Amino acid sequence: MILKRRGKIRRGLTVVASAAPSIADLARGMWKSEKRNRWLVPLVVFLCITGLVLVLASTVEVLAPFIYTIF
Amino acid sequence: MKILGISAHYHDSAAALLVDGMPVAAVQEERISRRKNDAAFPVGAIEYCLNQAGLEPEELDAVVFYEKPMLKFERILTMALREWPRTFSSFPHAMKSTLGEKLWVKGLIKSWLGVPSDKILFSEHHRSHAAAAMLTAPTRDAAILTADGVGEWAALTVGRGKRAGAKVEVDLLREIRFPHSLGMLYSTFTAFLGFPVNEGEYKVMGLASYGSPRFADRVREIVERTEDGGFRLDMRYFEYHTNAKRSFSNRLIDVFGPPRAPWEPLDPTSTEGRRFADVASSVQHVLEEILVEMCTRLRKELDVPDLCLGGGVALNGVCNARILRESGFERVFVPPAPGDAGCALGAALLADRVFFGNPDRDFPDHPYWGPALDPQELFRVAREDGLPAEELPNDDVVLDRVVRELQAGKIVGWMDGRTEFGPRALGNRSILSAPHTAEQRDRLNKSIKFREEFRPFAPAVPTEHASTYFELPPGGHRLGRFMSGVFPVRPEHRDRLAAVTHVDGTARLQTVDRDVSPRFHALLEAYGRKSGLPVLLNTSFNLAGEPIVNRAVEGYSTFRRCAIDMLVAGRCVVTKRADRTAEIDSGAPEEEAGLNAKEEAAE
Repeated sequence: MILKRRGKIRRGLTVVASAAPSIADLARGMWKSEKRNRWLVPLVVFLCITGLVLVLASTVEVLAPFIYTIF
Repeated sequence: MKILGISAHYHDSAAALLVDGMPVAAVQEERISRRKNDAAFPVGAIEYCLNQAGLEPEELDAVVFYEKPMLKFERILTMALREWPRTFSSFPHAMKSTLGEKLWVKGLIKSWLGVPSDKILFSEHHRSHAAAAMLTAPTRDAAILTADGVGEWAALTVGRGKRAGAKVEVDLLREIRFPHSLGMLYSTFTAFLGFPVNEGEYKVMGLASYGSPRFADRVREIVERTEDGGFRLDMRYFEYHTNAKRSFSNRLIDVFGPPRAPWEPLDPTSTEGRRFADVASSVQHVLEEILVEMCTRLRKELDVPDLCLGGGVALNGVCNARILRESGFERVFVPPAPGDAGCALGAALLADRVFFGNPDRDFPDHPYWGPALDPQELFRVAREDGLPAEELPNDDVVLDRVVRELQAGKIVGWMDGRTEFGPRALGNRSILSAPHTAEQRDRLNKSIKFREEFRPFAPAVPTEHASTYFELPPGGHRLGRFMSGVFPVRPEHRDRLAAVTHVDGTARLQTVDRDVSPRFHALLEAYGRKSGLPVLLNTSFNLAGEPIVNRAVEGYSTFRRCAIDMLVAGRCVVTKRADRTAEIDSGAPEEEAGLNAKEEAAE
């Protein structure tokens, strides 16, 4: 048995699509854990979204030129 | 239930599969991909595990990842901000490394395996280590200590594991958090001594035997002990938490002198080499002191006779043996894969026994969970390559032939059964040699392993004969089962065991049980009958910079590129022509013999 070799784009999109719950979990955990860390939550969310954009850029290469102009 | 455990993305990724609570397969990705310490998502290892059980990914009940990547990200970010602005240069590197694939493990697993989100679970890094140590050991109630570089936040944990009837508990009681880490302390000195981090720690341990711990007081100043039995590193000496390129600061150089450049030759008999050996000895000495003291406290606190050790630090056999001798524990268990690869198995066991509450089962007490050997593969490739390959009629003939070759001073590549899970070659993918002379050791170092002369080789001995040749404390046989302890060679046998006796008179022995490795045990016994000494030198079947061989063709490739004289895979035997062995031994120019490996060793 060989794992189904899904296309790079499909795999990338699966990763991006399933990221929201992970980010929400992290933000919720940080909010609940220590009060002094709450200010980090917006930064964490921002960085996670940035990471997702980078994942998207590396998988859907046709989008890359548009994404890089953001930075 | 069918549970797949996965570890990946730091170093040494792996996969392990449990079916109805029993292990079916476990293998490191490097053995499949042939990239040493491969940290990539272990697609090859997962495919092997599923194949072994005849499963499709959709049939899995759970997929467990060995740590929580989001918590790890939180730690990296928090550390970067806490140390700002010193982390200014390393911050982009850390974010680039973390924000890509490493953070989105759930999506990654979904994208490769197609399993729904609710089947994907995450364990904690050190709990996976703890489970790998405790739930694979033949004990019902044990203290647990795990130590490595860092997991999510924890770098060292102590806890307790219980297997009482159907109920299984693996509880971590206390932890020491990053950046205070014994693993990072050792790795920092590994880097200081010019060895690659996460790979060269063995070399530090080997080098330590050549020195004396004259810097131990200075190391103790760096590692401050705390009243609760823990420790705190003086971070002024370190940069691993702020710098992606260097792990020690100038202050450490002020104390211990200039670091060694990786390309500088290291001769422990020279003045400079002696200093490096003394530094290695000092950090080794302090590591042992701390861990022995922690284990002693743990023994008194929990009042149980057994200790399970996990994490990369548990690969330090010298330290393990000292813990066994001095901490008061009667038995010390170290799994065959205590590092991150073993966490794949630990995470799967934890999910099965604790999360799902499935009934406890005794774990088969051996490390052979990797791909099985196909001797016919060797037969085919050798014949195509023009070397005479023989299929011997039975095991007795094979053993007799191998013993004769070993007695004649030949070096044998020995492949049998399934690959070992973990970093040690334990008799299924081994290079074997007679253990009697230092010249044999030097030949192995120079013509086969292409590695530093100060690194020792390990002996393998049948368990029932181990105490005859080695000074084993009570419980030492068990620690030797997976080559996890270093013990003194008895003085009267050191002359005849010169190839496996380290400079300080010790050896990291493997005790071989008939039940676990019947064929390897029979070989040792047969060699003992002929030579009077049932001990063989056993080193991993690989060249410098390569992972241990897995398939017969990989064994053959290694055999052709170095001075191994004979290759055995099951009952298939291939012998190199004498003229070619002499050519490789002499280091004469050759087309393919070891050239690449030598270059790597020189690097």
